[in-house]
Amino acid sequence: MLEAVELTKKYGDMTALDRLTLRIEPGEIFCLLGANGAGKSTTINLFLNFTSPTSGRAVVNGLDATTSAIESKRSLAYIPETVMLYRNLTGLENLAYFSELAGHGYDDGQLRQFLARSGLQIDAVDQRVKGYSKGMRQKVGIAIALAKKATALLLDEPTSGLDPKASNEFALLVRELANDGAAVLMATHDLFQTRELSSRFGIMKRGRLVETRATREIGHAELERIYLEHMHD
Amino acid sequence: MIRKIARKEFIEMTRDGRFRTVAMAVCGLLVVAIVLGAMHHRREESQRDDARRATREHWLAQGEKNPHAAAHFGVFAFKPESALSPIDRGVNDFVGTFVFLEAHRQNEFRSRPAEDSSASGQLGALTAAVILQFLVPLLIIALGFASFAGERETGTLRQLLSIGVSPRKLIAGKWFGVVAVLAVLFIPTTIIAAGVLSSIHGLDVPRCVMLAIGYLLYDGCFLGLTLAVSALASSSRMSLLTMLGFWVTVTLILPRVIADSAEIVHPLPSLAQFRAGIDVDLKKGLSAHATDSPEIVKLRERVLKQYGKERVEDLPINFDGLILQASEDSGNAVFDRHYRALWSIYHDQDVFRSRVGVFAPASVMRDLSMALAGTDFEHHRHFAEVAETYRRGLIRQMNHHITHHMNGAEYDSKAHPELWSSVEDFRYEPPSAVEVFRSQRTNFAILAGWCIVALGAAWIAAMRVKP
Amino acid sequence: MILRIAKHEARLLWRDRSLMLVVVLFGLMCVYAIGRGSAWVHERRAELAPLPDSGRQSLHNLRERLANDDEGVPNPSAAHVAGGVSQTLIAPPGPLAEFSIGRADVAPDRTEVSLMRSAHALDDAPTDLANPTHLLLGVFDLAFVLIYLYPLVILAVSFDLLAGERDQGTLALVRSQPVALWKFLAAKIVCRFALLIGLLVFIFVVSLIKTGDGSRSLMWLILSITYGAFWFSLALAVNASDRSAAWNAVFLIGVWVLLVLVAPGVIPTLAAAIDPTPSRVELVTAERSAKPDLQKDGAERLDQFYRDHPELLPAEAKRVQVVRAARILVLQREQHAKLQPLADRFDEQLRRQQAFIARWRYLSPALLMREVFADVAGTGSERMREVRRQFRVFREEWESFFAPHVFRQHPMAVADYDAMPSFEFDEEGDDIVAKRVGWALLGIWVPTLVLAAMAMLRLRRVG
Repeated sequence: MLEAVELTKKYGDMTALDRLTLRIEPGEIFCLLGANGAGKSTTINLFLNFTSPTSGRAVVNGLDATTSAIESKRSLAYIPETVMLYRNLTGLENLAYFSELAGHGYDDGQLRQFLARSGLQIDAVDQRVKGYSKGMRQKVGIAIALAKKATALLLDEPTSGLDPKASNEFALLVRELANDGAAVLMATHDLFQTRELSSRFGIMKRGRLVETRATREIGHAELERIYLEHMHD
Repeated sequence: MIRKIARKEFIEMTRDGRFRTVAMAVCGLLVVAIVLGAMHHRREESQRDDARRATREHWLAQGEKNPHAAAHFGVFAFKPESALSPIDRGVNDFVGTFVFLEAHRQNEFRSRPAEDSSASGQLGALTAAVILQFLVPLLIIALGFASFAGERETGTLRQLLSIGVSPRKLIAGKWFGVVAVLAVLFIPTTIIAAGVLSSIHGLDVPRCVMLAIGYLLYDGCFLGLTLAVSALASSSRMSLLTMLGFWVTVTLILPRVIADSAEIVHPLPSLAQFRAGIDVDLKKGLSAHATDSPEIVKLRERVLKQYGKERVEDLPINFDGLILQASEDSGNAVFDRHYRALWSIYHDQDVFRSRVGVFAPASVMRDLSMALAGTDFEHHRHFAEVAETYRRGLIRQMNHHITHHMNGAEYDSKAHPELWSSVEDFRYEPPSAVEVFRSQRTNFAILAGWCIVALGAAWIAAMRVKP
Repeated sequence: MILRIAKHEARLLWRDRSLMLVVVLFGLMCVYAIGRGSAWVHERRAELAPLPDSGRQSLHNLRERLANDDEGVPNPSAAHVAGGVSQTLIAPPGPLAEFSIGRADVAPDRTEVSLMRSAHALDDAPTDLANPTHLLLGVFDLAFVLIYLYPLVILAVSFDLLAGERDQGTLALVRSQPVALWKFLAAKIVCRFALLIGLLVFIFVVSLIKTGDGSRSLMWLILSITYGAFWFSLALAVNASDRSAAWNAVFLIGVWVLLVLVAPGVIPTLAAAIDPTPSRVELVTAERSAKPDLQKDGAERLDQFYRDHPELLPAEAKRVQVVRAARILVLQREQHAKLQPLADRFDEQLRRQQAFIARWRYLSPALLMREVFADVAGTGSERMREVRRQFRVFREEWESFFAPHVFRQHPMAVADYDAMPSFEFDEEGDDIVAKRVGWALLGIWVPTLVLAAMAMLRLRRVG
């Protein structure tokens, strides 16, 4: 479960995030839309304790992200826009390392299963990450999330730069993870995937969450209209 | 255009607070080193002046004494501290400070400061030479490693190139910018140094000028390479690491490896071997004590024939004086043979270092700096030779007096004290600047070559700079 | 946890060719340095070993002749003849000299003792023929590599522990894992340190084999590890400040320059400026001044003359010689008494200069290491003074053994020959050196732990 309670972040006079209040239940996929600089990345950074809130709280599975930084990350998975891995290690070795950092010591077979489930081609598993495409690296990211048995997932522009096929594969995996009980927060510009995946979406503008809607309620054209409306002013 | 670029570089660099601190620190250290060096020089020279006066007084105050006894009494020759030693102490700590001049023996120099002082060795003391050879190149690297690579990372390089600034003008501008910064730092420092050194007697301006030129070439080489690497490196971090690696290799590692190789290619005998060799040859030679040896018999016959006498006692001169001089000459020949052989090995080693030093400008710079400052082994050898010439002259004078003014006298007959003052006091003139330049031509050429190559590299790199 | 992460880090380290290259080059330099040091020590030992032989042989011959009642010239029963045989005393290079030549290339390690020749108040004849330019540079020994280059290797492999991860882009994923940042960095350091310690242990084994001196080799190992810990600790502290890789590199090089290049030069230079090295020039002039008073004495002049031209001695040579010998001894004692205060003052000034350095060297781990490495190797300044002291003591022993015989004109017996003092250099005890090592360890561990603590506090705050 992911919860933001009056979450605020100020840099001097500049307000990056203004009293965000949001609750994402397990199994729910929430898409966060907004222009660049609207506060999407700031929100994710606060959940990850990459920066501390000026006021308010970010709560992950009941744990405060600031005071219980390490604990809260145990079942929290993060997939950045570009998943950067250790170039001289193979996909398998990268997964082993990050799982170790997450506190899980898996054996070879288990690791390969996670990679298989994430959709990574078998012949790529033992290749050095140096030669991986963006989609392949993302799959390793997902494998890490699986290995962590994450119940909260933060995704930052996951489908940007992916071709439609890869984008689709990704969406299916996210849906799977949500069905397994993860609360998913996805920051994105991709209206199509928002429509396909999310149960709710929100629009951020200049640090404030200005609109929150259930995705089922509206059609695609309507979604587009609302999005552009907030982009304009 | 170049001037505008240089101006901007200059302002950027001098505004950086960290750089200002470091640069002032380097200049401060330089001034402190020169001041301490000058103090040391003053102290040493005054001690040696006192000692020179004392040894002359002892010599003159011998009273009535047999000239051969006086020859044994001898005098001391004290090596002067070179006028530029505050800048570069060179090998002065590792060669003896004085030598005892007496009959029958060419003595070794005694009293190496390194044995007593803990502040010896190239990196064991803070001298201007260390700062100029080690720290200033680092400063240059710190100033220049990000000149291109940093601009590439912040994106300003792409903008500059897209405006249409020629990369060559850019690199020339950056070059002059750094030169301007260094000038602002070092011109005042040089003036202060000149002020401190001007009080030193015997300062040779041409040597100072050559020293300055040498260091400028050396620094220019580092600047050119740093700019070239900065232009070609993929990131400012790679640029820094490459130049640091070069610096460590060229200033710390290679000079020592080159010196080691010189010793392997041209090995020296051990001190014990050297002394033993001399002793063996001396024993074989003419001894004043072996009056029946064949050489002396021959000499006696020749002299008797020359003066047309039958017996030694009838000669108008004192034959013992001739024996003394003959044994002196025989001994001197032995010493000449051995010392020349030794010094030629040192010379071979120095030439080897110079040749292989093509790969390490720091090695060449060090040798050049020492030579110009008058503190390399060549200068010591020069002094040793002058002292030895004086010794032989003094002994010859004593023997001459015995031969021609003490005929028929007893062995223990004494000479008048006037004899002592007839021997001139020992005076030493160091080699001239022209001589030094001639001996250092190769080193200058190597440094100039490196500087040109570095400049060329920078020029070429400018053309291939990646935005 | 740290160890498990370290295993993965080891794999990363292994696969990073440039880092491994640096470590391999460093290893090669260590091997080269040990080779150079060993060659130097071997040559010096080979040169020194036979030097006492001729003196011992001469004494042996005299003893044999005495035993066979041979009274020819030189007379073996005359004390001044036996005592006048020139003995060469040697102090071979210290136990671990192969690793640190220290002052051994300029320190006096041999001297001549003879009853009939007064030593210069301070033994200052050269003891080697090395090219002075090479002496200036110093031998490329292991101490040089460890003091100057080892920190650079450590800094090269650990200056960008954090910044490197950020530059690579992997930091984001790492920071999203439930692992404390300090543990993550500690694992990286453990990994790198382990690699270098492996090299140091290898050197330790080589030392055991070459020198057989277990305690000194162990001291060397502990010192090297400690010095490395300091630099790793410094790197950790700088990494904790969370700046760019280039900034870290410039800062760390600056610290290296200050601590390793500048401080070890500045501190001794200051010591020499405050307490200038006493002047041997002054001493040699004083020596001369002490002599002429005695030389004006006609008898002495005659003696000197006879000394140089023994073939001219009148017939009653033997008796004259004995009396002459006694006179010489007396004169030498007078001269010694005159010059001893000067020599003592010289020693005292030197001691004060070294005490200054001993106090202030804690400001620079590099200077501290240089001194204590030399101490452990048996090539330090303390040991050098000890050599001089033992030479001087033996000289006095030698004189006081023969002097009574000379003055009383008492002939030597074979038993006297067997009772003559002989010289064997006594190396400094391990316990004395260990105490110095202890202080040095303290002097390095304190800043190391302070830096590590600072780093930890900073990292804990960041998470």
